Amino acid sequence: MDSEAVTWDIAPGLVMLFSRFLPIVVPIDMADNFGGKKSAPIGPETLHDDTPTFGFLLLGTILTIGASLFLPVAALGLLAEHLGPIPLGGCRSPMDVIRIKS
Amino acid sequence: MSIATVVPEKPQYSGLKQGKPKPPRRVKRAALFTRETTIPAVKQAFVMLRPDIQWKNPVMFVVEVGALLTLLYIFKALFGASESLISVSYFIALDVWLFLTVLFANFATALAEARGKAQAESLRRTRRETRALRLGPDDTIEDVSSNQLKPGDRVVVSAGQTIPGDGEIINGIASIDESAITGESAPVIRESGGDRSGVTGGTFVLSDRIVVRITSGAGESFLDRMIGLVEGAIRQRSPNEMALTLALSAMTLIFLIVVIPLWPMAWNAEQYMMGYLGITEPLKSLGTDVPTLIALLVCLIPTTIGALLAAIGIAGMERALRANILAKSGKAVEMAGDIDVVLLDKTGTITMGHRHATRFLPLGRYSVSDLGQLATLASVADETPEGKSIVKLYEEQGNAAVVSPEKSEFVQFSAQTRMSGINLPNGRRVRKGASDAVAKFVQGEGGKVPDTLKSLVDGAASKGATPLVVADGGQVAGIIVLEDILKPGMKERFGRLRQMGLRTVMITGDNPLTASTIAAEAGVDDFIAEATPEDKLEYIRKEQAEGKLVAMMGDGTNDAPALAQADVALAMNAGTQAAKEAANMVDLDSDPTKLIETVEIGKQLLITRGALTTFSIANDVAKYFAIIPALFAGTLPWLKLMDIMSLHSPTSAILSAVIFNALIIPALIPVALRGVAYKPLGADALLRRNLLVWGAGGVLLPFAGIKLIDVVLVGLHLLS
Repeated sequence: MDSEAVTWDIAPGLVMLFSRFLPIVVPIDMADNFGGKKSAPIGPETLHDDTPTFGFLLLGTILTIGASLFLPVAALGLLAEHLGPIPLGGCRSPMDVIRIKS
Repeated sequence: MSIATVVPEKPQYSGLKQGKPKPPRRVKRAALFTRETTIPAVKQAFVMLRPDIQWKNPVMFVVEVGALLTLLYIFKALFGASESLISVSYFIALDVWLFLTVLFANFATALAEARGKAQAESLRRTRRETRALRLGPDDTIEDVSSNQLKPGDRVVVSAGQTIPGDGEIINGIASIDESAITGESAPVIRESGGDRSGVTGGTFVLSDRIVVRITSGAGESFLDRMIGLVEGAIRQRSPNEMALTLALSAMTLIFLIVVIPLWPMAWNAEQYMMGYLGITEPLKSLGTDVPTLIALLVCLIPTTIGALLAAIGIAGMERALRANILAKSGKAVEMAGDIDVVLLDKTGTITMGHRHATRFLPLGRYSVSDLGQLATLASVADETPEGKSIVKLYEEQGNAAVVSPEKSEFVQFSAQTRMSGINLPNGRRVRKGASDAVAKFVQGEGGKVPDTLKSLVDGAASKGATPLVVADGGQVAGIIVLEDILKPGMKERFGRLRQMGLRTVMITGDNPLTASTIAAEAGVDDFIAEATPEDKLEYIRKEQAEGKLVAMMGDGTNDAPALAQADVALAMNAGTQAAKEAANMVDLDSDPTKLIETVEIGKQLLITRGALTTFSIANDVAKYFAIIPALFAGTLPWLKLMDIMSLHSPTSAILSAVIFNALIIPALIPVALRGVAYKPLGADALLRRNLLVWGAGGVLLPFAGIKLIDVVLVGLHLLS
């Protein structure tokens, strides 16, 4: 039982370590690639990145893509727990669940 | 004599509306779905289901694999091995729509390709076999087929004959109807020597007789090769397109990672609920149903843009082709949308490219109208643009048309005499021509050249104009001032380029003073005076070093280095072979202001791609609201709160989402092929506009669409 506990302590640590640092390789490589590009001079066709429109675009993209990625899991976890009677919701008896189901 | 090209005058504002002049559209619009393109495209859509072809579109390949997996589930259900409680008709409906999604995507690509090929084919059709009169080594003429011609052969082409192949005029001058290639009916002048000596096979000689040295064999003429290149480029993907494909593939992979764990999670929820409720009968939800999870994946991955991406790129090439621009690569078309600076040659681009008579300057006892009359008499038989412009100027000054008396003898221009004119029946000999030639003529007639002539001639020449001296027998009557005048409507065109964010630079051989006058008159932003090929190259390099993208328009051999250096190089079809080889686009109409359309097509291409990508991703929001509650209706019924569209049942919700996802592809084919409308509003305003239409629209439209499909499905009793 003790040896199993050690495994269970280390395994999530490794998961966190890898899931944090491995996927970041691609964005860093992309940033490096973008950084190496020539910068275009500012002209009438330049897209300004200090406008509300651009801010909306950026935030909208982050929120939409972020929501797309995490909504299924959030629905099963947070939403289900918040809306439903189990396991943390105030479910009084199994019959309530059956009533909701039908 | 100058080397002149008749630049056909187009109706500048044919679609003139009151008040606001509308620029002409020179990109011909064609019907989207014609019998010739649609039927092969439908067939090709099925052919493209072959995994080795479908693989090239990773997003749709995933959909195809999903559809095949669903097919396996159908078989499994049909043979009674399924433990699922869901009816098999739901699986079949799902699978049909998954396959349709792939087929719609393939159809979009195939249709765009078919339209591009049809456009290339219509160009090639002008190049049929003709008879050719080949000159032997001993100048004997031999009648052969154009297919037998080899590079280096010399052929004689006279008025009324078709030029048998691409070549160069080595002798003579002729007016040529190039409408078969350019669609422009006004004839052009081509002559030996200089930059206007190139002729294209399939064009038609209207007057005179020329000797052409063939430069390419049958079937490998420049246009043949160009069309081949364009067809090849139609299938090639530009670097931008490949980058986007990669990004979409990465998103597909991420959604695969999102969807796959849903199965164990949903299974766990089932087990948990069974245990919680203390029941032993199996509790099933759609969350553990593999075809439903495939449907979820297909709805989430960017199928809309994945399906239309190739079609958008091909359609850009095809729109360029429709505007008579042969683009050697899709990259060139895209690049045109990002151009910052454009370099144009003055002669033939900003100005008419040939001289027009603008003033009569008399000498001695002659009046302006006397001189005009003499000049007109000497030009009656002169068919060159210069000659015609003299007659026109005289008549414009309020004089009656001059008719040459009967039995007049016309003296044609020749390179030896450098004069043309008329011998009237009363013995009067009128000549016009270069000042030294006419001076010699006057002295030969026993006359004297007045001292004032030289200052008059020099005065005109110093302003960049060409003086022609008119002699009336032994007397000098005065000079005609010939000037290269601005093309009409240039200021508006340059204004439009400026609105689109481009800076125009005029290249000219004139001195800086003349150049600045013309530059101001034409409304260009900058000029390079007394430009040498090195100057042009230097200028382009300087701009590029600042990070700007430079477009260059050229037609001469001396433009070739600059064309090769520029990011977008548009060569005129009337120009030399070297210029066309160095360029990455060739304008068959030889109309330099076509750059406006080129830039517009490029911008449209980039905007369309961006708009549909945004739309595709924004669509996901609504699909989640339809699918997530449906997935867990069996186990976590309180998620019904998320179902804001209040769809009929879990299966109808999922089917509606999949059907919407499939139908949006053909619905957007017209947008992909025609491009999102481009207006020169500036990048920020354009982004706001497109974000509102395609971003906000992309979020909201699927809610309405999915609900509508759900209502229709239920209304038609297709679902229980």
